[in-house]
Amino acid sequence: MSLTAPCVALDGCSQRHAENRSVLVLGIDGMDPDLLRQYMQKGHMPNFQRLATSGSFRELRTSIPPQSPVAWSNVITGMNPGGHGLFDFIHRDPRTMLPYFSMARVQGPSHSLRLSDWVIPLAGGKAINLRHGAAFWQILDAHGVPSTVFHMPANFPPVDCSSRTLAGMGTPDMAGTYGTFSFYTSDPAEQAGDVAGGHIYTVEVENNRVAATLFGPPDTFREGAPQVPISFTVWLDPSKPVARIDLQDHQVILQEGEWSHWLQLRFSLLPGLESATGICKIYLKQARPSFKLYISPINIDPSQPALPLSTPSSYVRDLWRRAGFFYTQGIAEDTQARMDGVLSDGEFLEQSRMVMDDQFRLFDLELARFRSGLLFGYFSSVDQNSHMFWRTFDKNSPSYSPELAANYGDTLEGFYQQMDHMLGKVLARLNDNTTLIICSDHGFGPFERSVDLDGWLLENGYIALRPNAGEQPWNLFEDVDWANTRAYGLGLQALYLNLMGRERYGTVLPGAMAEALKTEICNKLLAMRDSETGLAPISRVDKAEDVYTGPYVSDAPDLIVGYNQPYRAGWDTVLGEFSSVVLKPNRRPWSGDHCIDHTLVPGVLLSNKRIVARAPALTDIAPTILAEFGIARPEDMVGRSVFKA
Amino acid sequence: MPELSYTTANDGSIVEGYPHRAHAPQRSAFLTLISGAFDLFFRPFRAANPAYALVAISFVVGVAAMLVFRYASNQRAMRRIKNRIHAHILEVRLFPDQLGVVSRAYARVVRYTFLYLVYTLQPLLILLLPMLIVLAQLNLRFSRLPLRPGDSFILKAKFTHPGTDAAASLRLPLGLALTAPPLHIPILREVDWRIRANTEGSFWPAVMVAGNAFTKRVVVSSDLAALYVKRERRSWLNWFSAPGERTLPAATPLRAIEVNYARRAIHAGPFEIEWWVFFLIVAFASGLVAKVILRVEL
Repeated sequence: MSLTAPCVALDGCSQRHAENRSVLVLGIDGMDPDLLRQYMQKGHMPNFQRLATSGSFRELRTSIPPQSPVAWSNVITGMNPGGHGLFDFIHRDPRTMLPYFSMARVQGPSHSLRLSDWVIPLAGGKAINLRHGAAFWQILDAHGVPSTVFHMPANFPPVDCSSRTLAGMGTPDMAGTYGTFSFYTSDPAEQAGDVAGGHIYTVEVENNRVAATLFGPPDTFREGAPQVPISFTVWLDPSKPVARIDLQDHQVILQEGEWSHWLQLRFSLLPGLESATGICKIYLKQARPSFKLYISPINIDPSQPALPLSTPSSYVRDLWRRAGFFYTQGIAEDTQARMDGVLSDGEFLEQSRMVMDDQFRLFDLELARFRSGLLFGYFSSVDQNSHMFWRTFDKNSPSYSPELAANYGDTLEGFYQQMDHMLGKVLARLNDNTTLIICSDHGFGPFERSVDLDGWLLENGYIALRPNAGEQPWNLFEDVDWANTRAYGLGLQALYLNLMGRERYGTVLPGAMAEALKTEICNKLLAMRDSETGLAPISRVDKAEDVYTGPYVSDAPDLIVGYNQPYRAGWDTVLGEFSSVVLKPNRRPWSGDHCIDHTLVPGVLLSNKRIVARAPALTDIAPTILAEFGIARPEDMVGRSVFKA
Repeated sequence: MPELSYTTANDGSIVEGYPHRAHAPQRSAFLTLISGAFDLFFRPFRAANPAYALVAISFVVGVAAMLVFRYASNQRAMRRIKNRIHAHILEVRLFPDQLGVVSRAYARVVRYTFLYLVYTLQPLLILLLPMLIVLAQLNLRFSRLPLRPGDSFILKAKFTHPGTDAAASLRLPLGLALTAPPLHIPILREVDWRIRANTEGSFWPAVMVAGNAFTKRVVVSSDLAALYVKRERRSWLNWFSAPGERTLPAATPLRAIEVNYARRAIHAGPFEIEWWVFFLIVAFASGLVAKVILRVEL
């Protein structure tokens, strides 16, 4: 697509008007229209109320499926997934059948020289943004409109442009993952090993001293890329719940229940020649009777980024100079540490507030110097805390309890109010030439029961197990007899046919046979009933060709499964594990979700201007921003300005 | 042994807002003069990027070193020796096939080179002591970052004998606040206190041991300042490394009192380097320029 789409013809007056225009967009991940209305009615969101009254407040049609990477890519490109190529958090490579994260890939050097156990790269590695299509700020760039875009999801590495942009969701930690914590414990009840979100290490306390090792980024100069170790020591007071952590140059005293500030760590890759720095925070969960210490995922150091975090590349260092260290990991709230039982609700909440404070601090800096052009700020706290604290007010949630409700029942509302406070600051700076747009990528709903999609496909004869398949849970990659399998689910809402010529072991002929199979599966999925609730767990199934347009439709899942409320895909099924129990209660803290039928979780759209579009959608945001600067939308954008009839 | 008397009793746990600021310990006149001279030199650069101050002092040192060479060495003799070395090298090139001539020429080159080194020894010896003092003064100012208001730091008291740390306590002046209980590390014979600096200034928190107070200067400032990390017992090394810090009396149960100021790196464009690397590069470069201008034989 051309980035130099022609400007609409402007007369002298409107030309000047466009030059002075500014557009301010607040992207609030997961803000739900029903909850927003409820809190506004209670009078707890005065700034949102003021904006809704004086401007517009509409529900915003979300993406199919309503998952953040997909939804924000719709915002960024003005296209649906067929145009930008992101269909789910998880994609699979049909040649290997293996899953991978859809947003970005970090690729090692193409050529290297091996000397003993050393690997000398002969070419540079690189990070690749897997989203296609031009971002709206690239188009603004081409028209000379200055932009600042903060923490935009699905923008790692940031796409080339002269605007100031900072990578958001999709940015890995130093280990190359989306967040791997380290937890050290002397509690004999805790087992060492890998958990979903990190590693648990058992340690011993001897003479009030703990010696342990923190593992950093993979050392790509070594055969097998082992993680670079850093030894550290913890000194415990013999009687009081306080400890000193000696980690490289840092010495930090923490009381039980305290977080450290950011610590910059240097990892030696080629001794004396090559090193990388990362930053982490330490939390002393417990000093005695058992020692428990949490170390956050090691974030990419904004002062010396090991991977590209911003455009221009100096921008992230500029932010660091002005604001100090900050979270650079794409999804910084450590929900997985809470799910793995490493952090309690209160501890997770505190960590989550630190993330929000970082995002506000950075945005405040840019807001203070914002004069014209575009300023886009993304905020993750409402989304992540809706996931984790929905059970505190959803009495049907399997993990609801009155005690939980008493302690944390108003937590989510507190985050909404924080956003209202931020909006208050923004409103105070608005002038007549500024268009304010607030949008969320989707709403939210309860996640009380889970559906094991591959379990259902097995039960209905679409997946066949190998004769030598082990005990359940089974695994798509080890236990499936692909020669007799016709369909499989991978990712949060994706269902693929085992298509001949596309999948490595394809069995289904493309064409009429494939179409008939899709229709058959659709009908059966919609007919499914949960005997415990009497509800249909799936309320909608979309065929890719019916809902997507663009050059990447052929990469799409064949069917997009829209779960009904209060259902969602089972935890194991997302990465290809399944069992014979199809419907289960969800007892995890992750109790609210949006990866369901897209019609059930619209987002919000508010503006200080009158919205005239009848059913605004996420794909309308980019054309709306361009139109505010008098720039015609490129032909491949499917949306339209919401301010024009 | 008593160093300072305090008017407020200490309960041994968290102490905040001690209303008395102790006086700075006395230093010798010579060290005061040296430190004062450096303070004066750096005064114009106090609030600027420390790289500028380092460039200035490195330039002065580089030029001064050349001046010392210019006037403290026998320049005429050095020039003559260098000419002779050049002549003998030429001899080697002109008569490469005459073994006797080449051998004699090499021997003379070695001899004159040695002689040349002897002539450079005198200015080097003159430079040695001032250079050590300069490096020590620069280390005090450029190796560590002063605390800023709001920063936390650790004050460590290290003891000579096991068990003596148990009764140690801390008294803090206004402007500093304890933010965690004291941390005892018996195996290291050490007590650590985590303290927050609330306001700018120079402070003298006191470690109390058996009724005696031992102070340590703490600097909270956004300006360039001399920072003494450690106060310890008298040693010859202290004279260079901490010339402005009074030593601890030999009979005390304390080995040292330390403040963990953060390390400072000098930002020079995209590079982040240690102060001494930066100093050596700039001093060497300015010395080379001065050599040409002053026509110093080196």
